[in-house]
Amino acid sequence: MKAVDKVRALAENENYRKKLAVCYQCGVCTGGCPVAYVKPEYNPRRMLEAIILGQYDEILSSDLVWLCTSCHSCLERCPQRIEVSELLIELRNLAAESGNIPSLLLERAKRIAETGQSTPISRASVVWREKLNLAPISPANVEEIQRILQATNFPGWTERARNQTNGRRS
Amino acid sequence: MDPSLGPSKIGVYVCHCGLNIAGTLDCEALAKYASTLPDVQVARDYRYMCADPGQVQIKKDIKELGLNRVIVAACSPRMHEPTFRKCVSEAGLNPYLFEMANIREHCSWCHPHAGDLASEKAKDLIASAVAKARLLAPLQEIEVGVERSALVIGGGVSGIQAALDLSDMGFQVYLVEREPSIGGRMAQLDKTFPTLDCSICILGPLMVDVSRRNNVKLLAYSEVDRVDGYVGNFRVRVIRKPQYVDPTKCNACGECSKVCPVEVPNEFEAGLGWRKAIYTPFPQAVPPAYVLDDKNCLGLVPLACSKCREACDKSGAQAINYDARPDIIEFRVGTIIVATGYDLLDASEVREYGYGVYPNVMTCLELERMINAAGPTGGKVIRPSDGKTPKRVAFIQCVGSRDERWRAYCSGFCCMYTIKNAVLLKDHYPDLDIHIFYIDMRTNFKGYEEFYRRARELGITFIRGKPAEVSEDPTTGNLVVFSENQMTGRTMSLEADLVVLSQSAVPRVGMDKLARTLNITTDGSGFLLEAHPKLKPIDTSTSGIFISGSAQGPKDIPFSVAQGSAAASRAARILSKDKWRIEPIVSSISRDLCIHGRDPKAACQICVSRCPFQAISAEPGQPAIVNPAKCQGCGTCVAECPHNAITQMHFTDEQIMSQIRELLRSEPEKKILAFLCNWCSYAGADLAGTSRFEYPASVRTVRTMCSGRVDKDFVMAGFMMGAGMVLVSGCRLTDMGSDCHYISGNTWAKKRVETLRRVLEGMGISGERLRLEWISAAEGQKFAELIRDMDQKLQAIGSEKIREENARAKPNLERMLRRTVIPAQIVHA
Amino acid sequence: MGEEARYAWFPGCWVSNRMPYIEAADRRLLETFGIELVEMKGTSCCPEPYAVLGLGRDAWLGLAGRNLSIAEEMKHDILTPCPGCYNTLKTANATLRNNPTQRQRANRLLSKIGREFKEEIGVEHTVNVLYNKIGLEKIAGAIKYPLSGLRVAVHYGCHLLKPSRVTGIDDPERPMVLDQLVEVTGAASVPYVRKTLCCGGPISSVDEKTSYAIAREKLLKVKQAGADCLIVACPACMIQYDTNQRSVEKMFSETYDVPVLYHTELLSLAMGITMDEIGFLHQVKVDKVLERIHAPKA
Repeated sequence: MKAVDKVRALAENENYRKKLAVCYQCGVCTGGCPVAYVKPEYNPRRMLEAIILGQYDEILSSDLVWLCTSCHSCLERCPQRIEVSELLIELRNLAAESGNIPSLLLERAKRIAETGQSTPISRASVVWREKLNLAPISPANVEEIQRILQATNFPGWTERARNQTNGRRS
Repeated sequence: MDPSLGPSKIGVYVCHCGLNIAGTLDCEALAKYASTLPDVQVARDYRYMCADPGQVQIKKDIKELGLNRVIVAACSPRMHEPTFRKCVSEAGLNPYLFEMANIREHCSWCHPHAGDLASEKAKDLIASAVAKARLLAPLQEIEVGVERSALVIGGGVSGIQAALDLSDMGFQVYLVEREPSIGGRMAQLDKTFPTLDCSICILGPLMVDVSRRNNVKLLAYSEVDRVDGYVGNFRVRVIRKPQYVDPTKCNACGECSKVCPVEVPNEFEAGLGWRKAIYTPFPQAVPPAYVLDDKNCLGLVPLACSKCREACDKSGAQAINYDARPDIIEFRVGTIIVATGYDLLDASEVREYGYGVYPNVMTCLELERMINAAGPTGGKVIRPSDGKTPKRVAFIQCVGSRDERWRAYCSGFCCMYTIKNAVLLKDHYPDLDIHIFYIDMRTNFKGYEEFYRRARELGITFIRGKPAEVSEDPTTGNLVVFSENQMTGRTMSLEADLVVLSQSAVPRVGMDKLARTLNITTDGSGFLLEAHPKLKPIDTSTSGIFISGSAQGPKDIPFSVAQGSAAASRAARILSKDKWRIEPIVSSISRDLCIHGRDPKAACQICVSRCPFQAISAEPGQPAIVNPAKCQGCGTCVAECPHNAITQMHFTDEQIMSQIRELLRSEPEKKILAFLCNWCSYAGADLAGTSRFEYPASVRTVRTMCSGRVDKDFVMAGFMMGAGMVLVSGCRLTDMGSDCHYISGNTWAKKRVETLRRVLEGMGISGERLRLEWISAAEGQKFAELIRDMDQKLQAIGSEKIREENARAKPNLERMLRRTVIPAQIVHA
Repeated sequence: MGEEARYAWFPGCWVSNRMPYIEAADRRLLETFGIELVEMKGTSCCPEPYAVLGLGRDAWLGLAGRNLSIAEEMKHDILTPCPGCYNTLKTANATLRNNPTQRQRANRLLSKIGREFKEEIGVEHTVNVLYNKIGLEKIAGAIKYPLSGLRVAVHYGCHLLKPSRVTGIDDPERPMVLDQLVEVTGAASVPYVRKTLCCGGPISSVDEKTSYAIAREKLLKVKQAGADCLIVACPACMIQYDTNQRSVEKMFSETYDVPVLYHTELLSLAMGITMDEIGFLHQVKVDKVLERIHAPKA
């Protein structure tokens, strides 16, 4: 199913629709949003209205869904208890499915799939930790991690990661 | 069946209701079917039974054919039962020998495409009505005497209006007010919208008038402690708090206040000003006498200070007496009006706006007192932090209202009073920059929209956007308001030196307790519940008690005044009669069957404890007895009595059993037997039909007044007669309270059904086949969905399994029913 | 303190790898107060929300569930110094506990590696443990060099406090836990406009300009309020306000010069631990702050 259809299905799903449809466009979400404060094109209230009215294409193909900092101020303050920031995460998932992922995030996702960590363990950090009398970082169990990721439709699942897993099996 | 009437002679009238019924059902065929039923003398069909020709026909048949029972198969009894009852009584037939079959709301309107299944249902409903009718008895309405006086609780503008109207009509009124003075919220206001009348100037004369009437007894600084009795005959007990000042001697000179050493925040000034322990709340207070607040006084026992008495003695009035005690005042009234008003939400709960933390964030009522020339600042609007005149004010609307986190409802008057306050501010301070942050502007009455326009013309800025937060600049005490401005689609931060919040109106403190004292209910939001939201906004579920003003829900002054007069009118309907008639669908206890009559040592009293209206009493060693005037007709006691000693008139066990039998006569395993309470669930089912929500025609309804009436015997008989599923549905019962028209009927129904379900499961009947649901009168959609769901599950279980389970349980059910129900009434299915 | 105070220590990728001095400072502090921290073996990134939750919920829940199950095996609650990890693990924990469908899905994934989520442990953050478990009184007793006269602007960040139905540390609109932890050192917490504003850090790799514009708001307000320094409790906020401060200044042609300290760093200083021992790296010089503190700077 195309991501756009999924959003439609999401928005038309009775429970979800009920939860979103109660939005009366008060604007508290946008009013407290740190991103909207500095970037006028980013407007959670308008995004929500677009979903309710069925205009998802633009949202899924733009970069805007990736700008939410997940500060959750909108979720805390919405008088209709709409979990706006959670909705944005759903939209991100759907955008990711259609290939709309910022490159740096994809890099990081791949690194997690290949090493289990979001940042590479640098030489400097090894030395540093020694100096601070900290034990070396316990290595992540990459095998287990990869088995989990292999079973999901994780966009960061790379060729390399696949090869690592296959290598292990044989 | 009443033997004095001889054998039943039943007339059945099937209404077409234009095409409303005839469009789906073959009314002629239905009439023909009805004529085949035993004891039916005549069965006719006609286009509009409620219209004159229809009624004339009925009356003709009663006279000429000697009919002693009449059935009309048409719309809902909630619609036209009174119409036809009147019709038959005009022909000399007792109105309680009439029954309706609901083949419109419960059949033609909700089963438009069900074809034969709809026909079958209509036939069953008619047969059920006929079966019940055979067993009906003539009933006489109960007459009670009427005390020609009324109690009005609450001396705000609504209560005052009610009191004045009743007084004008010549009735004695007792006006009870909790505060030292009447006047309520309106006395606290400066000007009223949209005319900008001075509030106390227009209210003052009414306050004085009501206090001077010969037939109005004003009991200020008092509270209603206890109410017993019933419509026309309420016994009221009021406690007047000790005021320590003799009102006949006090001349309100104020010398006592001057010397009192205690200062406490002044409630009248919304906490902005101070008052002494001995005080009068405001200059125009009625009654004007001063009051000593013993909670804040330094001490009376032992006496800690006597400065006020010394000053009073010196002045010559000698009005202060520290030995005062609470006064108990008892009297009888015929009706009661509750007009206790509203409170405001504590704005500090809405933490994002900083009330209570930032000094320059204030509430609307505080601003109201500030603007008022007689207020704590002499009419000057100043910033609390430094006393300076503000240069820019931001108003924030919907603080706690329309908000699932606090109050889901709209408080109704805040848009208007904020506009009013903004206009006043602009008038006093022309250079003041005013911004109002709102979600919607609700200006829906005469002159309101024009007033809004005027405000905009004056240069007041309206910003559509609910502010996310208010933050303080610590160096200046100014506030920064962060909001989206939907006009521009951009966020903004507005620096203001004063922020005013419009917080939600909430039910008065003590509303719950008062409701319990009076045996009336509150709605889901805590305000007093009206009997019907559209057609009976002033009546309550308890006969003779009325509500008016913001106690019923936040409203502005004209609405409150109108409701005050309306309440007086509703009360006068009763007070103007020598005798008041009460519907006789009351319960009655058999002296022979009540355990208290048979065994002097019995300690049952179950019926006494179940009755929320205290209508049943049991003297030791005597059978319990129902006071028919107090009985509201729920039937809960009937179902709860373990000795089967109680009957409810017009809803007897036999009558209901006969209905069940007819409804399950054919293919019972495919049927859902539904017991719906008159006030909520039956009305909800009606609404489903009115709204044309379609649902399966497998449901068969039995109407009871209350879900509390649904005896477990009915449910067991249903399964014994082969029912597929049984539904018991009543008024909403949630953790927050009960909407039950009879207060607690649904609570007992719940306990009973849940226990019964376990028992039935033990007998082999799957628990899911007995459903307990709460459907309100507004939930037509929900009812339709419920039946769809139940029908689906019914089909999923399958007729075979149902027959199997029923067969397995039957011996047990028969055994249990034989103990309690007259055997002749059960027909083995 | 009552029952045993032993936790499974989950430093998280950023702290353990990019800012180990946070780990060192937190560990030292916690262990001084008798908290035992047991190393977790084989954990992965919590996983971080932007690169994982944003890309796929199943993957996120699976990896988080796996980390939680490691703690369950150890039979210890998780304690983490990173609010991001705290939020992720606590949210995942709550989701798996309360949502049977999600739990089923996650356990299906976990079963592939012989694991199962059993809802046996909880998740804590250093701030929570300092405030609730150790308590202000005990901390006050350990202060050797009161920081009186120091004016501190406290920044809570977002993930410690929201969504409040999950995190449960403090009121997100008017929090006071961290202010009190700061004031127990003798310093004064300075009020400033829009204290609860997000740092903008999470989107810095996606849109630097927007991210820095958000950081700028806080820096301006803190400067306006006349604070001597800004205190943070999160590695991401630390990077945003300290590491990136000069870049923000450059982007907007402004100067803020706001020294940024970590909350456990401040506490350590007040307890007499030297800057050398603490080993924090600061991009924005903290000399002026240290001058105000009478503790040995070494």
